[in-house]
Amino acid sequence: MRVFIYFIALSVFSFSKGVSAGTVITNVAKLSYNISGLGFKASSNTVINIVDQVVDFDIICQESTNLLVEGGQKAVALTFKLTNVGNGTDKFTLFHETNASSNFSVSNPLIYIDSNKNGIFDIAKDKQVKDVNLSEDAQATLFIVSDIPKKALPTGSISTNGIHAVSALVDGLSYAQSKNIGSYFVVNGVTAGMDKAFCGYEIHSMQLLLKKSSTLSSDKLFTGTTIHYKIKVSVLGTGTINNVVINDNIPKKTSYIPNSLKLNDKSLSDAKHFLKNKISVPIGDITQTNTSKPIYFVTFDARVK
Amino acid sequence: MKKTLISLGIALATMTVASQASVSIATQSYQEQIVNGSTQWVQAVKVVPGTTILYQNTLTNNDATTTADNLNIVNQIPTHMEYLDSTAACSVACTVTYSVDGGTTFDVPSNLYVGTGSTRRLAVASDYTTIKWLITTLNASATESVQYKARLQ
Repeated sequence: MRVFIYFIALSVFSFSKGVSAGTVITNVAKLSYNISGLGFKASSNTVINIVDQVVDFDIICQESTNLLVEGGQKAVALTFKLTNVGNGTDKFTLFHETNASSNFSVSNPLIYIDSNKNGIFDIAKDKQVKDVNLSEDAQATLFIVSDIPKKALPTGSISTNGIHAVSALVDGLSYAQSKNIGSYFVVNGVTAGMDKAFCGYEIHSMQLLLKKSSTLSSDKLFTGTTIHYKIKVSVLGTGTINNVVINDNIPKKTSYIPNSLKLNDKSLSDAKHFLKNKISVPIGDITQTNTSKPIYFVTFDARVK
Repeated sequence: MKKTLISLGIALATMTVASQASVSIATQSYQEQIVNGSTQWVQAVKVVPGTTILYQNTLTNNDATTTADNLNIVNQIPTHMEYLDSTAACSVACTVTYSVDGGTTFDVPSNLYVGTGSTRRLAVASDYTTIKWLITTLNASATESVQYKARLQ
């Protein structure tokens, strides 16, 4: 939410930069004139205005979709970005908040700051925080780190978790109020001096997906037609499925074409992977994350008898 | 002796006097505020980026018998402020010109350019650095004012 409301006017706009709070603005005018042919000069007083501080900040969830999780996962991070779009330094106190419409609650939610500024939560390097100081236009990446409950939850269950940030300067003032801080005023540009944003955890048990398709060497099936089989192997959900092995029987009334078995276009030994009219292709562990989604293709040919 | 007195008189006639001025100038800043449901200009106190400030320069002829003429008021637009187009005004007939070179030269907007070569273009209000108002006469004991608006960046 970026809403800036003047203390004294009804204009509403947002900005990310402006003259810094405390800046001195001066105006002075010079006069020259004549009287009876003689020239004179005069100078006005100097009027001084000091730029007040506008408290305005954004907090935004950085997850493009709900983060897929499994029951029992530990220390799973949701990412947020907090930006000071006001014109002076402020301290923001941070609170975890769960949306009332959530299907489940997480355990041990803690807020961390991206201490090494790499955008990735690292429990060994990032620090747990309760507040953060930001100068004008500065940003901080924050994480809510939580444990997902072990109990069985239906796929699609969502827990919406957020960070609620409160400006220490504004200290609960309504947007129409301002207060004197030293030589200038602080004007509240954010409703009640606070803003919040939410991201979601979504339960999704991992599934191994297999999709088999075939193509023919001729328009129709005849004796001698070659059938090219393709098995697509992929994963649903995030995490690791261990020791994946693809087994498939050669269809009846067909015979396996020797040396046709491949994994991702790489030939496999018939001696190791074709036995008793069945192919067996070990793929191993498949790990899927929100940014890495591996896909495998097992292919082989058979001839119609 | 006579020649000396005449020379001294001529010297006085051409000398610009920086003190003993009978016309004074005072400047004040104002900002809009909602008062009892209506918008009014009040003395500027709280200014934040985006605020429009009205600067008013008041001229007072403190001499009860003498008219001042050829009054030139020059106001450099404050740093961090942008002049708002067509807001320079006077309480009496006046001529307004602008500068884009810090007050070295002044002209009407249609003759003001910034940049050089291929980047040369007609100046816009936010390019103006200084404003000059020319008031022909200020009667004895009279008060007039000139003003302009600018926005805090």
